Amino acid sequence: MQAAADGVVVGAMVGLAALGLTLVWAVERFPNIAQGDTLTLAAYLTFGLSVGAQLPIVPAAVLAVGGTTLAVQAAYQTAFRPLRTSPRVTLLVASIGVALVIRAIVSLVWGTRLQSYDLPVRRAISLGLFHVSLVDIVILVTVLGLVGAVYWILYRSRAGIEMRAVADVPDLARVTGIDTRRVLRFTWLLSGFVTAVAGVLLGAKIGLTPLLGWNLLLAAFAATVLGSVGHPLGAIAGGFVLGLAMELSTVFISPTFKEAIAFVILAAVLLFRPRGLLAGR
Amino acid sequence: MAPYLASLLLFGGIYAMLALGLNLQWGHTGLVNLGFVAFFALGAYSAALLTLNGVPLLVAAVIAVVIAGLVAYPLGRLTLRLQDDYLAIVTFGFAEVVRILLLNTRWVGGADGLTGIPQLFGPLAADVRPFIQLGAVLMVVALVLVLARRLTESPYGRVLRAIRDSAEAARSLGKETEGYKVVALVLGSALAGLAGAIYAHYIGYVSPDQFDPSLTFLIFTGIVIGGSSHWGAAVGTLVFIAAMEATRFLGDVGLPISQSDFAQLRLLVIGLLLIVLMQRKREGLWPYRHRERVRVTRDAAA
Amino acid sequence: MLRLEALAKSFGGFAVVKGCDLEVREGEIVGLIGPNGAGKTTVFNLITSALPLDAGRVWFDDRDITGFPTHRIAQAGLVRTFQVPRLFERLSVIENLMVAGPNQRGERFWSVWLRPGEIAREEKRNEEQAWETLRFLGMERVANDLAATLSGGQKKLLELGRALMARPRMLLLDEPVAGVAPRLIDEIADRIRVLRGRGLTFLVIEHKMDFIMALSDRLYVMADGRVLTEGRPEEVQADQRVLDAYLGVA
Repeated sequence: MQAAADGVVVGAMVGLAALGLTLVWAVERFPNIAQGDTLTLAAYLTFGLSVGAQLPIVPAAVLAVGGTTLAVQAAYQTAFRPLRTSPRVTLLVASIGVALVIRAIVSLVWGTRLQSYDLPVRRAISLGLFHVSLVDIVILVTVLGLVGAVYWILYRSRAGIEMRAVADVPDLARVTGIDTRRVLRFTWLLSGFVTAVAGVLLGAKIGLTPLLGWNLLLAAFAATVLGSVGHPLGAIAGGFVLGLAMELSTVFISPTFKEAIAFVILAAVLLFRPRGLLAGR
Repeated sequence: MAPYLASLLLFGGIYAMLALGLNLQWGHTGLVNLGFVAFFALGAYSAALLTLNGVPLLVAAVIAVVIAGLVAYPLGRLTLRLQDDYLAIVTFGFAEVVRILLLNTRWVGGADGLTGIPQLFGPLAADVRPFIQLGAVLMVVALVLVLARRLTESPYGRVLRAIRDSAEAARSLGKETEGYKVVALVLGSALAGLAGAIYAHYIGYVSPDQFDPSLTFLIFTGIVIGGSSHWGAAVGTLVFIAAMEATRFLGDVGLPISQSDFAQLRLLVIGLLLIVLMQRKREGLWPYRHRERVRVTRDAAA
Repeated sequence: MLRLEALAKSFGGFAVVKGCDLEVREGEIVGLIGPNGAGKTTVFNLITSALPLDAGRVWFDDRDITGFPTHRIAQAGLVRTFQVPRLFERLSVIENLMVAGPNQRGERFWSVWLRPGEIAREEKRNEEQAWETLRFLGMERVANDLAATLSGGQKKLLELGRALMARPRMLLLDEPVAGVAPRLIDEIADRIRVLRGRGLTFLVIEHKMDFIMALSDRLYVMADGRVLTEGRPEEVQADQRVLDAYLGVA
């Protein structure tokens, strides 16, 4: 039961990371390897601002989200935008480069030791069969709120509708006069923001190392593919499935094999349902 | 001094073989294998386990190569009918799983790895052994180079490069692209397995930290700098790795930077190079050059 | 020779092709025209299985090739070109042609190692064929240049040549003269007529009206995912509905 509760919390963060991944993947058509290290950056910025600069945790988190979103936008403008007419696979390779650059900078600034936020006392709240901490509740509420907001943006706002049009039929978008450049900028902004929030939350739940996000990347990929690339709700649902599967597996096998579970799910999806569960709706 | 030089050259040979393998995948076929180091590790661990259990060294090496290639096959079949992205994420995941399994499985030594692996030409006297080893390894590298050239110079290699440039166009001209991609993936991975077997039998022990994921990116950057010609890929990788290794000595000459910071700076350089190379010089310094063709028929003179 | 029955395709709920019926007889040059977004290129993608179709059948030579993998369709003799040329940019011009030769022994893995002599002879014949094609297209001088360095018009020509090297019986040309210099346009039209004289069949998408009207035996006009009308060039030109479609009057 406790494993299931943990699974839901981990799943929420995997889902958020997958949401950021799926947005860019659908519009730019490549899986952004730097996604994991973006999570790490957000977590360390929060750490640096709260523990280092002695800001209270909430303003520190907000600033970290803003800073990470800007960093992602900067990465887009300098690393990815110049490759807009190149084969997609070059963007994939460039994203490896971005990942390594972020990781190196994080390690150089904050070192490679295990760190954690200086959070107020973590009181666990008992709910009968299992207990949850305040952090867990904050994570769940934030994720649900954010998913609602993203959903509204994608399906109700003009920018979101244009974004989905570009993702579905790029040629059609060109014909109907959508400004692709603006759509791409917006996509990276939204993806960066979502990823940044996921990173801040991740740092609250798990200790910080420079490999914090990298270690979550495989689960995020699996969740994205499971929920069909380009389906925001699929990514979230996929995240919960992954989180639950990984945490529940720890009841039976060693927790070190969590990532192997994510790989098995990824392989099974590709084998039986390569376009994911939600494709073709 | 001479044995030290021989050992440097021998490591050079191993890296060259890794470069040739990855170049077949990326440089010629355009495949992104983010788990390349895992096939290197599989080759090394297979060879080590087999010889430690009494299998003759040569047989063990052959089996190690076959294992590395065979493991690549299902990964290719699983992903290469889909878009190229899927190979990248599945190989990335595969490498993570291999790393975790090696770290946490008792019978492969866990974090300590395996020691006491029989040496190449172990029975020979210690003063001549390094040179015989080097000679043998260089011969294997030369053989691999000849075979790789034979393949890439043939119409087969031409199809691989066509697929790299546009798989869709290749398909619409009647080429069954998936099969070609799978073969390139398997061959390149088998080469990594060969490099791994030689590595294990040369240094005599294997452990998970020798197969850090960043090695994949190091070699990747090397072959992108070098370009898709076999010599370019091999030389590019050797020069790049040599340059990166040389930074280890910078600490000795009194620069106030710690070793671990150097490791991070190396990562930073690799990352920046990958970005810049993709934008500016994707074909590398020595791209593959196809034969100049001149018309030689009778009516050409007329 | 080629018959399409009620092809349909939609993307995310947006129907791009809504039932396209079309027939091309052996030895014909048939034009496919229509305003932007009418679904013409999508029809090509559906014929060649570059996209999976939602409904409909494709017949080639009285054989049902619906849903065949792309490479099998090309092997059957139905070869396409692309609106934006998809050349093998980092291969030389002549290598672009040679790679297209059908059914090469040297493209089989084991033959590379076991039959070097045979492959060498085959390559010689293949190269001969490639030079022949280059001469036909007037591109002998750029034979050893990288395809990426060609001008837009030359790229279109090379793509045509590459398709010819695959020894097709029918070609699907997607805007063969878009972005091509006027002098080259006449050249391309002339080459297509010569090829038809040799027994090839054509289905051609094109926006350049004078080109396609002069070239085609018959035309299909598509608008909004459907075939609007079909007929000889002068009939189509006189059809008020065609004009309306182009002017956007529903």
